[in-house]
Amino acid sequence: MNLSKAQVTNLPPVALSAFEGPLDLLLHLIREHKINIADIPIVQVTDYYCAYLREMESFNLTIAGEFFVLAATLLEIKSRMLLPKQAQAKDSEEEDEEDPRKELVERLLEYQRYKAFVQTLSDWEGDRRQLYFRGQAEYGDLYELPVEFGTLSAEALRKTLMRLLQNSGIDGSVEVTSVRRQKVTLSLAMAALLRKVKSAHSEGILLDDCFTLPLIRVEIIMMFLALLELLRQGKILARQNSGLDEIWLSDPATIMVAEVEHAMEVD
Amino acid sequence: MDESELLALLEAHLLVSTEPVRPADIAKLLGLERDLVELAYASLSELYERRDTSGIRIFRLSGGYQMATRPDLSLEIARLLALPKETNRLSKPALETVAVVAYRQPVTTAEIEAIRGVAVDGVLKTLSERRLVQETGRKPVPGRPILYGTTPEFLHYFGLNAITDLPSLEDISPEGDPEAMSKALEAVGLEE
Repeated sequence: MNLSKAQVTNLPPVALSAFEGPLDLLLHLIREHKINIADIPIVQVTDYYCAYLREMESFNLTIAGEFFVLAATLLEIKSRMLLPKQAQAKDSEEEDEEDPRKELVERLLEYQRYKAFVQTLSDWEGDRRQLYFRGQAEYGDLYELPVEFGTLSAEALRKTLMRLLQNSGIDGSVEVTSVRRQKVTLSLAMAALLRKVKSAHSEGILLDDCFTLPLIRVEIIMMFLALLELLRQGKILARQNSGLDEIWLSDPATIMVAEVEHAMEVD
Repeated sequence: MDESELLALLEAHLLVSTEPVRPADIAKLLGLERDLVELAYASLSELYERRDTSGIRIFRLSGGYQMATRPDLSLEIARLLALPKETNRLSKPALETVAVVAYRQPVTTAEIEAIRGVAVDGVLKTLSERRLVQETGRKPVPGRPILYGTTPEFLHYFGLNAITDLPSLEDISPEGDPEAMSKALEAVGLEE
C-alpha cells in the first residue's frame, strides 16, 4: 500500500532509533492512537509499517524482516477474526476456541514487563556506578574478557588505538613508521639461547633472563621449544634447587670444576 | 584471635582486595566458624556506616563483601581520578536482553528473540564480552542450541548480592498507560 507524501508527513513523528523492534513499535501505536487491540485497524497499522520500513530499507534488512513478521501476524489475526465462527452451542468447545489475539496480547504484556524492568536495571546500573572500588582507576568498569586471537574487529582495534592515543595526550597527528616483521624459527631460537647460556658466567643464567622484552607469545613458545631441544641434545644443563624455585641454565663445558668434583665425591 | 583482632584483619584484607570477599572462603582459610566470620563482616560494615568522617563503605556485592567509596562522593572521586563521566553504559537493547536472560535463564537465543521480537546475536556477543552473560550449557533439543545465563559480574555490575534479589517478574507492573493495557486485556481475555 502506497501512501502519498502528504499522508506520510501526517504520520506521528517516528524516531527510528526510539524503537527496539516491532513489538516496541506496536506498543507505541497502541498507546499513541489509543487503539483498541480487540479491533486493530490493520490497514492503518500496515501503512505505518510501510512508511517505517521505507525509512529503514537503506539501513538494515534484518530489522525490516522482523517488522514483516509482526505485520504478517497482525494480518493473520485479522483474517482469523473474519472467519465465520463455528457453532458455539457446546460449552465444552468454548475453551478450545481462543481469541486469536490472546497470544499476541500476552506477548505484548510480557514484553512490557521486561521493558519496565529495564528502567529499574538502568537505575541500578547508575547507582552502582556511584561506587568506586580498588583497582577501578586502572581497569574502569569494562568487565571485558581478554580478546581471543583472531576475533578482534578492526573497529575495536581502531577504538582502542584512539583511546590510547587520547590517554597519552597525542592528538591526531601520529607519526607513521614501518615495523619489520621479525622471523622466529626454532633454529634461530636455539642459537640465541645457546649464545646466551655460553656467554653467561660460570654459575649460568636465569631462565627468566633468557627472554627478551617485550614478551611475544610466539617467541616464548619458541624459546621453550629451543630449551627442550637443547636439553635433549645435552648442549645445556638446567638445574633447580627446589620445586617452584628459579631455574638456572648453564653450559656443560664451563660448569664449575668444583661442582663436578663434588658430584663425583657424592657418587 | 579476639573479636577486635578479627575485625582488624578482615578490614585490612578488604582494603587490599580488588573483588568481593566471600565470608565462607575467609572462614575456611582462617579455620573459623562461618557464622562468626559472617557476623564480623556485618558488624564491620555497620561500623563504617556509623563513621561520618569516613568516605569508605562496605557493600554486599555478588555474594561477598567489598570496600567502596561512599556513593555521595562519586562526582568528586571521578574528578580526582580523572575518570570520564558516563562511559560504557549498557544500551537499551542490551539491558532488555540481559533482563530476559536474568529471568529466563538458562535460555537460548531463539527464546530471547521470541520475547523481544528482534535478533539478539550481536547484543548477546556484547554482553558476553562484558562478562554479564555466559554460556551455561546446551539445550538437549535438536540443534543443541547454546544456553545462556548471568554471571557473578552481572550481580556486581547492577549492585546485587544474589540473583534472588531480583523482584519477581509478576510483581513488575507493565510500563506505559495502564488504562490502555487493561482495556486491551479486557478486550481479549474477558470481554465477549
